[in-house]
Amino acid sequence: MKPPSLGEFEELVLLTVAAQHDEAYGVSIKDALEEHLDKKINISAVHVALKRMKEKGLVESRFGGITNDRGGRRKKYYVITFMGKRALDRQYELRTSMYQKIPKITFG
Amino acid sequence: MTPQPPKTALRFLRWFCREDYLEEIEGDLIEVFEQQYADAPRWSGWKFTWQVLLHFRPDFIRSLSNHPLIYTSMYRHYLKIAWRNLLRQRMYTLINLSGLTIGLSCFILIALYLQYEQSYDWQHENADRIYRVAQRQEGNVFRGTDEFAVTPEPLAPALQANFPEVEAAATLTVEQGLLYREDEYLSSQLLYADDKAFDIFTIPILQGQGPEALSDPETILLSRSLAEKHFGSADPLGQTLKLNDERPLTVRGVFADPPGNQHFAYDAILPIGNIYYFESDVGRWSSNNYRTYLRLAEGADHRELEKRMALFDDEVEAAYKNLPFRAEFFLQPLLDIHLRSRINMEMGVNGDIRYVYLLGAIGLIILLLASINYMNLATARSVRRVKEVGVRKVMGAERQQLVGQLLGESFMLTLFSFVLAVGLAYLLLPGFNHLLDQSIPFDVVGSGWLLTGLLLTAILIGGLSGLYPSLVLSALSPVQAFQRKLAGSFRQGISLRNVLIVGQFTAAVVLAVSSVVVYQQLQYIQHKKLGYNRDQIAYVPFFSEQVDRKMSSIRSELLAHPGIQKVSVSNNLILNTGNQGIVDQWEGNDKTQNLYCYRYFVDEEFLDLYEIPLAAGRNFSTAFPTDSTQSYLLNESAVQAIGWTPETAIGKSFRDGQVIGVVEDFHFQPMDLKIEPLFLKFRHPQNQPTRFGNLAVKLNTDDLQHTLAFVLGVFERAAPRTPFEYRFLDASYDQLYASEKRLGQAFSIFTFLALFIACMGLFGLVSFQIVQRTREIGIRKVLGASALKLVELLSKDFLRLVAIALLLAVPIAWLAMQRWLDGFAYRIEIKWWVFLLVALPALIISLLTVGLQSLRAARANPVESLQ
Repeated sequence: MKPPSLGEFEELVLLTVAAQHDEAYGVSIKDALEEHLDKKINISAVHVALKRMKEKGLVESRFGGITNDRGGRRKKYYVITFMGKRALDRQYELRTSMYQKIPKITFG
Repeated sequence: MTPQPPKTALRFLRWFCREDYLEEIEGDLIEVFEQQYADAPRWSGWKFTWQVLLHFRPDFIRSLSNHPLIYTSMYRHYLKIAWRNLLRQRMYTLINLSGLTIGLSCFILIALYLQYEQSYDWQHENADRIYRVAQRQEGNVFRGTDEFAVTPEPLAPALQANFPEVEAAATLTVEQGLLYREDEYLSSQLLYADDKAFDIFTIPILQGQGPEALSDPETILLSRSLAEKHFGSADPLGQTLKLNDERPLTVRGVFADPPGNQHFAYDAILPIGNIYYFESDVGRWSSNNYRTYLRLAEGADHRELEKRMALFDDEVEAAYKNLPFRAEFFLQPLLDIHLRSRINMEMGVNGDIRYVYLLGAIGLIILLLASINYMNLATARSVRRVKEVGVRKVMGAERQQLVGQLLGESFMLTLFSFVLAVGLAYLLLPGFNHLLDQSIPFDVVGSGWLLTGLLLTAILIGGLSGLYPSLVLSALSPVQAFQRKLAGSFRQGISLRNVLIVGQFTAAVVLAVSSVVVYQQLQYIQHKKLGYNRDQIAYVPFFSEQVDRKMSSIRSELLAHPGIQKVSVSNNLILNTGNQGIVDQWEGNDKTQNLYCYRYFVDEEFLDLYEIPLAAGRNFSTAFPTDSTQSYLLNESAVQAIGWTPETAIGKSFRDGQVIGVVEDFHFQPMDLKIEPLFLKFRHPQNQPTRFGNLAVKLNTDDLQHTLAFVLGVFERAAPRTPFEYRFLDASYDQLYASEKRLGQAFSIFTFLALFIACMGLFGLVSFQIVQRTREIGIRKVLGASALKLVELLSKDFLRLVAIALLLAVPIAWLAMQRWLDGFAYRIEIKWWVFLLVALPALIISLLTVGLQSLRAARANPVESLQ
């Protein structure tokens, strides 16, 4: 079965989810992305990406415990699924194989 | 303390966000907010709001079906409960809704009438800049006013030449005329005008030429319906019609039928030169045979122009130098003419702003009655919902929800009633039109204010009647609700309702008293001794010199018929005020005093036929040859005004002759005017022919049809190819008061409806309250109360309210009717028993309403009510 396609931002979010294995939730993903990309990210964009990937079966989620932070709201943790991992792999393979086809070019 | 994100944004998020996402998203947002708050507290709130807004997108919004934004299931449940409540109390629902619906539809009908009356002449472009010139002839009072709607011919050209703000000025006149097409003729309203009339009035041309055709004097433009009547489906253009069977005119254009709401009607337009007297009037400042209309420039002040019209003073003064009064011109805004102008020589029957106000007031009263009623019963019924409210509260309903439910229900009901009322009004409009002799279109959308006003009223009624119970009921704690403790607020409700009942009955009784007084006054006018006998008299108006010349043979031919007793010819009909003139010559007065005197030209049969008694002297007679030149009959008022007595008046010189007799006063003017001085002069038509007159015959026959056909036959032989028709004098008399009569009928109908609504409301309220007190009644019976005692207990309160209302209504009705009657010169006095006449039935009906209901309750078996 072919894994579903990934948008650029979705790919970044999925990578973060995979990296923060079992510890990834909205704000942590946002913070990580902001750190890596060095720009402001809207939390709503992260939520959209997460919901869509969940629908495609690329991630799964579970609720964490109740804490006193966040107005008493539980966190929702995301983990990457097998399908998600395959999608990442495919994306990675595609990129590397294409990257290797670039002839050696020197600039300047 | 942890910082709090903005509440509104959070509430918004919770409202739209999918349930299964909400916790996560809200948590994340709050966490981000907390971070940001630590960095920069000032903007964090706004950033949070912004982030919430960014989440407002399809991915996160809850779906309509599963976790709906609007809880349709709950609303469906509300609807179901509302419906069940309506059905459970079928009778009250019926009373309540039908009362409101009837009231609203009455109001719609009246509002349509008012709207139509206000709409006169608005169809003209620039209607607000169009004015009619009229004149005031100070000292020449005629039928109660010294203002006349006629002007001389040179006025319009002079206005246009002298005042730049006059953009257009037109001279015109409307006269009845006959248009012949070969042997067939149609009587038509002919508008004689020039092309300037088209600059002022908006007259859409449908076919052929418009104003440009009027430069040819032998032209006629027809309205579409007149063209159809003459030519059917054939092309009317280029055809020839003969004006009064003499002057051939070519049809050059067809214009759209003028709408009914225009202050003068016409169905053909002819160049003004076609009036036979026009040529001699040109340039003459005393030729008051025309109407002058103006269109002023934008922003021009017509009051200013009025003052500057003093420019024509010299010409006017020269024209009036032989008359004891002078004239000045004034302007009437076109849009005011229909309702506010009641001057002499109007071109049509104008409306009356007083009737508009009167009907408007009735409409408002009915609306008020119906609304009060509805609110009374609706609030009273809401008590029944206490238990339901208790249950809802236990199940966790919030106060807001309860208020929303009860208010919403109330809105829905009133809106439903409103829709019904519009439908009912639509069905009733033809009857209403018939009653008022109008052709009001069903135009509820029309100017917009009517529909919005009504909708707002319905919403207001719904709101008011829903607000009170919903606020009181929803404030109860569930425990109170189950114990049926309505605390003090319910008592307040009772006193509020009492005030409303009193107000309602007062209004209804005032209306009822007024309609009785109006009825009596109209009866009085119709049956007051007129001073002459109008029974069994038919008359034929004629406009033909030929008839006048052949009068002696016509007369003898008519008298030969066994069904005809008497024949008399006079210039004016006895019903219509004749023309008035000034007399300044009589014995003992040498042109120092002026007597305004109406005049009739009659023959020797006049007094006999109308049975007018002589107070002194003798009647005209052919035996005295001087009678036709120098004899006068005066009425008692004239004699009195001069200072004579009927006896001393005989033989005194008067104008160019002398008084030979005095007739008793008879009513020749409408009843709202006093009998004024009048003289009768002898004229034999065949010797002094004029162009018009009225021939009256006194009939003594059972075979009216053949006798009258015979009369017309005599006329037609005397003047072939001229149309004649007969009318009955008493019918024509009744027609004079037709509008009053119609108004009186409308008034009684609406009064009846108002009383009906008021009684229905009382009935509903009483029976409802008794149902509420069933248990109390049962206990009282068990403890030994008699049925009579119970009836007394139950009806006392209501009857007291009705009595208070009666006491309030009497002075109000008395004052209002006194003012109305002051408008009549001959009027009735308001009798004390009129109040009794209204009060007794009102008391009896309410006694019956209350008494029967309470008796039923009192006689019921207490076992049933206590179980």
